[in-house]
Amino acid sequence: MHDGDTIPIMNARWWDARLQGTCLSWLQDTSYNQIDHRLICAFVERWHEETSSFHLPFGETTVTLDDVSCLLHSNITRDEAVDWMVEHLGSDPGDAIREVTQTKGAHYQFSYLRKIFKECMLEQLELETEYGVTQEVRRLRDQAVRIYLLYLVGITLFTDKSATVVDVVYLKYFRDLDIVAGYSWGAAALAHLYRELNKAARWNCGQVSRYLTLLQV
Amino acid sequence: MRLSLLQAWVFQHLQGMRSKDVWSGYQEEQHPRAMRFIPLSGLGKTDNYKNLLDRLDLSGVVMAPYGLHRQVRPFERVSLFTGWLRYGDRQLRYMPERVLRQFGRVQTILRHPVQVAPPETNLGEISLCFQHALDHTRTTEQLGERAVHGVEAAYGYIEWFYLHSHPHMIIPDIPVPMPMPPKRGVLDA
Repeated sequence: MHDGDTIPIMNARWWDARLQGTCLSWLQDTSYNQIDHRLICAFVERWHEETSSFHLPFGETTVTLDDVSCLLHSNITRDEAVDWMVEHLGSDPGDAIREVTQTKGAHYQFSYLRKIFKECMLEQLELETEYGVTQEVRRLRDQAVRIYLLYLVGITLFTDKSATVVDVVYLKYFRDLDIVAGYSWGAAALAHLYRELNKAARWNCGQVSRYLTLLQV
Repeated sequence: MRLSLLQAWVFQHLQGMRSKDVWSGYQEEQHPRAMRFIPLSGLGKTDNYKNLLDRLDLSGVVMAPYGLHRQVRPFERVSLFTGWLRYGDRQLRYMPERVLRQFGRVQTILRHPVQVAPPETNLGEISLCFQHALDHTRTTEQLGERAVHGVEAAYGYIEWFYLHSHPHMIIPDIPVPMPMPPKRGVLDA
């Protein structure tokens, strides 16, 4: 997403303002360069699906909604929009997908997102230079923000098995950028983490290390 | 660049697992907590981690680490919701009552998970329940006794826990004593 062409555009004030408004911009900064696979592996061994907790010598402990809220500043309370989200997250996207995209299938490759993001950013810049901030420029900017957010949740909250694609179903949540902040991203991310831990805990450690990209949520 | 929620959580609660340095630019009133910590360069073999976890006792654990952070992220009661979380067509148990110490309370002996989140619950019921989460959620007053020192458990908890679980991974040469909750009398003195 960040290259010589797009970085100067991402330094513009409109970009920051639009992204901050979604309350997801923190995701850019809360990722670690370095994932300690052995550490995660040691914890996976102590994960118990039936209690959704780690069993350690001093008793049980687990990641709570409160942890997610403080660690990531992600929203954990529910609102109207969350119902739709709870029902459709992780499920067979089906109709939802068809609404969002008709041609690209159920997943976007990150490489594809990078390409259309760049095109979008450059086009809006070109139009802005020529005609000022028109409605079309605003539309393109919002589109660029949507693509960027999709990429961001794809590499952070909802990491896919292959870690190269993201489910297009999330795009639906970015349709109206003004309400993105209202979704319960935190609750969804926690449920996702529990599910991945359940899966990983059924494997042995050697297999887990191959599987670990999944846990990088 | 990948984010690991689990890794951030480990750094937050277990001091021995993270670097002693923190990110110098971190500001409590501004940044999410995950940004504060710097990973260790690694402890080497997986066995070292297993040993470290096997030897963990309450002195190495920060149960409720967010005191200073509450100005930015006030506590939300929905964190105490108990039951199923739904993720698409999967259902996952969420049981904060098992980790009361993380909410600053004395840990009590637990109900069977099946009682808390019955397996026969269907997905529609789960969604409905979460929609009205706050109706099913205890208030902080209903959580029981406050843990004055942050680590207390009810009498018999740790014995009950060892009866039901096997938290050690590596059998040590020298027997590891079972970590007992600190004696109230000693702590209060």
